[in-house]
Amino acid sequence: MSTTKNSTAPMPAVTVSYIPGREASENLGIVFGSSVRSRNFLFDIFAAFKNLFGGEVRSYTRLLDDAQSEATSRMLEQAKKLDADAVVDVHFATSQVAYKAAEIFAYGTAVRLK
Amino acid sequence: MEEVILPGILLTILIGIAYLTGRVADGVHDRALKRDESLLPRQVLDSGSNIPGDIKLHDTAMVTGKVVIAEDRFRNLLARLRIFVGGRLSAHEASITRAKREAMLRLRTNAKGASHIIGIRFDSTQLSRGMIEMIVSGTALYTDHRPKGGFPSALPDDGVNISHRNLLIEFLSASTAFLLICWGIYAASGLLVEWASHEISVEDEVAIWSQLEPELINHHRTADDRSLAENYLVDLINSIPKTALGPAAAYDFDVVIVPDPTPNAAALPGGLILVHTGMIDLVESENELLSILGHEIGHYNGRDHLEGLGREVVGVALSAMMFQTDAVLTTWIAGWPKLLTDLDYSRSQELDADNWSLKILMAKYGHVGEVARTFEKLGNMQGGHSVMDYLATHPHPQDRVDRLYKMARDQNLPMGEPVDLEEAFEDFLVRTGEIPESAREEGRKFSLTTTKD
Repeated sequence: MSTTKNSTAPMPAVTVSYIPGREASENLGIVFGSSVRSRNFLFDIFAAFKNLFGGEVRSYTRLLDDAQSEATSRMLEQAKKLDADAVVDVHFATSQVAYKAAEIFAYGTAVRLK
Repeated sequence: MEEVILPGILLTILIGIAYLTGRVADGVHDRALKRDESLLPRQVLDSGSNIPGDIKLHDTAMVTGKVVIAEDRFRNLLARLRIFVGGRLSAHEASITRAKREAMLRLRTNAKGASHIIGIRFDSTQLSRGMIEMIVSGTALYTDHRPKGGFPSALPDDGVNISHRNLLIEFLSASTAFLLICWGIYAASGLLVEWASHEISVEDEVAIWSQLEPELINHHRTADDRSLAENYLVDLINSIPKTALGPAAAYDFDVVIVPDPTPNAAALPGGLILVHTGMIDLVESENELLSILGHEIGHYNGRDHLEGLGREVVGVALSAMMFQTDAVLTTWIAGWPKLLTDLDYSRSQELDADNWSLKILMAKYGHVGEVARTFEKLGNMQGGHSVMDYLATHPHPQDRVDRLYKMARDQNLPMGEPVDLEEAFEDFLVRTGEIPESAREEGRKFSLTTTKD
């Protein structure tokens, strides 16, 4: 019934409701992780310039990247606290909590696997 | 100084109160959340949309939990400092996490009696500055199933999502970084402005300024638009030998008399000199009046008026960039550059301008009598030296008096009899045909500040 846990392997997190090839045995509830971040004013100025010409605003993409990986790792940390094996049905939400600051919010269902 | 210190103290007190009330509100909310979460019945929470196959479903319903949480002023300020500097906004993390827990709590309270809530979705927006709206929605399943054991009764501990840093330390580090950045920008822009103000020619300055402030520029104002007193002052400036004016000779000077009882005068770009009525009331002779005007002309030669203006623009832009529409803060911070400008004006530039005043008096009258008379009066009004003088916007008037007399002695400049201001004004009125020669003998008095057109 229980699987041998490898603590060094990253906990799987998927956006579908099952871990392919495995079966969930217990639902441990919602876990979430959020990260609120900002770039500094220099990047804000560059981004404003970029807004004139169009194109990808790389500095903000990186901001979202950083925030997303932090939010995900925080979510997994919560799942670990619940002794979960995986997080399924992961969703992301972003919001602007403050001007020029982005929040990335990851949430999912922590499950134990058979 | 006062206009910066006093609001600064008030602002600090306000922020301090916001900090304290914010902490209290945090604590109260946190305890309430813990208590209510522990009272909730066990429910299976699922962000996926699968209905478990092994249960008997009676009913389903859509449920939501909503909450709007406001940030306190202290956190708001802290967040803004942090946004400027960059990095993680730990002040926001705590409140946004509490908002999520509260929304979840309400969702589950609304789904009372349900054994499962599936398809849980979070959504959040910023309603207005510092106000976060959090909506969580899901589908409640009412079944025979009674979940027991396990963990799903409450949202997990929030310890993971909040960087545990002391807010005051965070505030100190963020504001120090912010001030350093501001100082750097300000110093750099100061150098730039200084360079630019010396590079820009008088013609360019007038051309630029006439675009910005067309109604203030002198070639839009003719002698008819000015009052008699203003015409007299312009006439006085134009009577100075051009060679004594230095680079400022290129200006077509205009004078506006401002009804203000404080004895003051100012040089605006484009050759517009403002003189307060308080200054005209203070001076008694034409020489004394010209020493003031000469001082302002000296500022044009030093290009000081452009520097001050440029710095003010940079300062206001900086504070607007940082605080956007926050009226209290912007107005307070906008006061800073002005003060710094004045401080910068003071020591070297004011004294340079005094030198020009001396030179212009000498060229016009052949002597420098009364050159320091106004400063003597101002010195008497202000009293003796005090500690504040080291911070004051101008050198102490008495120091300038001593310095001017010393310079006059060193250069062997003669001290002559002054020309009475009222007589000089009457001369001007007769010369321009405003009053007949006979009016003078009637003993009518004409004063600069009371004669209107």
